[in-house]
Amino acid sequence: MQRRMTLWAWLGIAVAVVWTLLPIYWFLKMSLLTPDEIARFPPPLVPLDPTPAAYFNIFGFDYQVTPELVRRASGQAGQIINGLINSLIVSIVVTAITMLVVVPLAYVFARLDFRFKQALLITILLSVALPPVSTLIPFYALYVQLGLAGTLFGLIVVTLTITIPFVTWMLIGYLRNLPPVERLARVDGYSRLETLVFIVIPLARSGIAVAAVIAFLFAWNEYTYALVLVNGTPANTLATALSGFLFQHPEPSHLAAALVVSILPPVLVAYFLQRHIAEMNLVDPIR
Amino acid sequence: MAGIRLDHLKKSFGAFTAVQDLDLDVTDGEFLVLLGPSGCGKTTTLNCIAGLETPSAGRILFDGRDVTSDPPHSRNIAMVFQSALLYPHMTAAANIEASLRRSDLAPEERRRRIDDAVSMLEIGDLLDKLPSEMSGGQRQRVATAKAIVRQPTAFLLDEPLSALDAALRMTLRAEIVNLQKRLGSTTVFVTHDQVEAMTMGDRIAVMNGGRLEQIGTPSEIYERPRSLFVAGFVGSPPMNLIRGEVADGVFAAGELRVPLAAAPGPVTLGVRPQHLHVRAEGGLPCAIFALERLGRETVLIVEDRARNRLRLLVEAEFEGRVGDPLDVAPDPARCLLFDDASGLIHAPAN
Amino acid sequence: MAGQVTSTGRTSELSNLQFALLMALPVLLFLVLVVAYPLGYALWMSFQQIVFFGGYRTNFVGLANYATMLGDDKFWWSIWVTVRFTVESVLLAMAIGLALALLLNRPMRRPGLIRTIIMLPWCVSLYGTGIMFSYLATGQTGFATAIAFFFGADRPVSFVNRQWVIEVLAIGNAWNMAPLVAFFLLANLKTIPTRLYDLAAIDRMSPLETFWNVTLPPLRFTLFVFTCITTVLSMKLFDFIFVLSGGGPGTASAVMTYQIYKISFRDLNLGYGAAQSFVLLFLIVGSTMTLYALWGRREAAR
Repeated sequence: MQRRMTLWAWLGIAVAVVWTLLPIYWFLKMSLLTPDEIARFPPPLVPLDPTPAAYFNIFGFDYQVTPELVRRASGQAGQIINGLINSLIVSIVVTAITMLVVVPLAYVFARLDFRFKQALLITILLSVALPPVSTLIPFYALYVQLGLAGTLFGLIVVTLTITIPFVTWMLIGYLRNLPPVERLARVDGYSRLETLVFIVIPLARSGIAVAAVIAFLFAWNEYTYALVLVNGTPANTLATALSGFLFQHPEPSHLAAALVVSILPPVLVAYFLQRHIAEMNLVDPIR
Repeated sequence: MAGIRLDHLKKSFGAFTAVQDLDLDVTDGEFLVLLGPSGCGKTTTLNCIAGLETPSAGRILFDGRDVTSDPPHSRNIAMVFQSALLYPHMTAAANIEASLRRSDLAPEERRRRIDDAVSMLEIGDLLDKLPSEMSGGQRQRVATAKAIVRQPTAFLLDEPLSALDAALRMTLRAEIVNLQKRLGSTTVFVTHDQVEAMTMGDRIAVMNGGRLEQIGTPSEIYERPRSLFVAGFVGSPPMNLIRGEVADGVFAAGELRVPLAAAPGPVTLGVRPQHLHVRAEGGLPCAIFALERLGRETVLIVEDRARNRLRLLVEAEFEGRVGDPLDVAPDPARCLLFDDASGLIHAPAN
Repeated sequence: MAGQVTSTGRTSELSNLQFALLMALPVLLFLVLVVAYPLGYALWMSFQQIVFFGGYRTNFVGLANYATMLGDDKFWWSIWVTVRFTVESVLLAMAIGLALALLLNRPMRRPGLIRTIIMLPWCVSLYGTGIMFSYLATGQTGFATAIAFFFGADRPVSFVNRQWVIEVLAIGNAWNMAPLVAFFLLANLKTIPTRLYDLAAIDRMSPLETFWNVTLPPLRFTLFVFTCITTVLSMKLFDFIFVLSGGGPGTASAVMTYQIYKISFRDLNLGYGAAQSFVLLFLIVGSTMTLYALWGRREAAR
């Protein structure tokens, strides 16, 4: 009985791992295929002759497969490199501003009682529910007038409207569960701001780190606004550069390689997130 | 060191009144215990003294100086919070030092005070540890050291022992009292545990529903509780309270008769378990409900025919089994009488 | 009395409200600006007819845009597609999330590695998920085709068709959302005392009864909250669908967000798009409030 149970558990874990990794594997495989393998029908289950050529090509390098055969650099390489740099800039700036703004905001919502708190909290939760397509047109119209369309600055401002409410919500739940150190701090003569800076922030550093990682992920993965506001301009991000591949179908292995590159940062943070994500309480603020 | 005076203190949160019209004097060097059930306003009162809450009305005076609107640190108080709260991310040493960060002491003086506190509480080997690496008792000692380095006007302690196990609580009880007497510092200690209150306090202030029920020395509170609430709350095992009526100099409740010289009318009779005795016959007929053997003595719980339960203290060797019939009778000279409205109306002269 | 207290003057400390305003006001102002402005602008547009060709101009048309919707088959179709997609996504994400949480709650070797793998999909972008699932489900490049040929079939197996495209979308969406659900449910599962399972064993409960009486009760409020979150996320989802199916084949997967995008940016009928986006917002808020009224209120009272 006991042994059968563990067998089922292992089977369950195997199914879960396959379910999770299959889509990623399928693309990893595609990125390693040669052009004729990709053209082959039916699609192979495993790469028979894996080659990293696509990864060189998308960054603008030729790849010598055999002395006679060279796989040429992708014509989109400029777009990809430019998008990668822009995505990094946008994500880092958005993360920095988000954290600067969200930590005090979440702190006062989590730890202090004041008038209008409930109404303001509901406003924040509601703005998480706002569909980007609804606000796209007004932003587009505004940006065209202000000359912000096709600029990184404009994209950063819009992306902040996504990260700030969601990350605030997450941090409120986390900060609520800290011990009541404020009273101790008041007796010790810390001012409100000192309490936040010297006591609460160091105490909450793991939660704040998770929040920062999530802000980065949201910014890195943002596509809808980028599609309308910066696609086809010098301010394009990795996401828009990638979808350029998709609709032009140049070489699937290039698309696959670029996608794998784009999910590398998320893969790196997944290990960190799985340990800490549950500390971010999404349920508490609703209760 | 200083005396603390609360003058018509009132604190309400929205529609809820936590403390109403409280007058209280804590004399210099006194250990005062604020005792009451949860929600009675004792912690709110302490927070007002500390400056963590602003009173809705009334004044707080330290040695005659009005500190009602001073922030906590300028009142020079030290506070130990529930379950000995410390900054979780700081070592013991950093926690203790944080107490002195707003003082303008010379570095040597700082050093000396910290060293004194560390040696007094024997926490030298804890200084580099985080609160999460300490036991409950160790945290308690560090929190106390953090409090005394400030050499405060008053120590305020908010149920500091409530999260600890019974044995440790007993050890620390004595340590805190010993320390307080050595330092001679004015102390206000909040607890809901009447044993803690009786054993530690020079005086006890019993609170209920935001009001002060009674203030006095432990023996005053125990011997002459001023209200039914205090009578029932203080003492372990608790006082027996029997509702009945006085007529013609006799208290009558069911089959119980006690000769008492008091004005006629409905009253509640209170008698401590040690003043209720087993009789061969002629008392209130009861049956044994349970026996609690404490070693030094035995608590006997009996039930009369109307299923009212009474507790009495008998000798350790008392023989009896659940269900055995016996008669009990109170010592008339040690009975208290309470009126529902006005509280204590009859007490034995002593 | 109260006046007397305040008249002595608070020396240096700020009140809660003052500090809260100081910390939060700049941010809230920014949020109000960047949320209220687009909403207000969209509301204004929804009452206009906006013409680009032959010079940009706007005409006030009142509720005409909203009236047009009533007779617009594509609009009603997009509502139906949205509802179908949302219901399937939420059910799948919650079921898979719960299953993953139960699995992860068992003792296992290398828990960190397994948890990292399970966490991965949530970290992958929605457009990335869209690209991956389109290749995975299409006949020419799909996994099903590869498997089918492995077992001797000779025709491609494709799921991106009128019949199944919604299901493909829902599965991809659930693939992305389930880890988040799983990790929060897992945190709840860890708080169940193991003694309760011993008690259930003593009472000879079957595994199903144990699940129902021991495991499920502490999860219920979290399940409600995440049902709301996944509902909102699915209804406002755009990029994933845009990349995976582009609303097609035909209009088979033209959810409301896609329809609004198409009306606004392809047909350039901005007023009509704005009006529809208000209907979508109303649906999102309405469905979460309905969930709360039917389910959440009971759970919160527990």
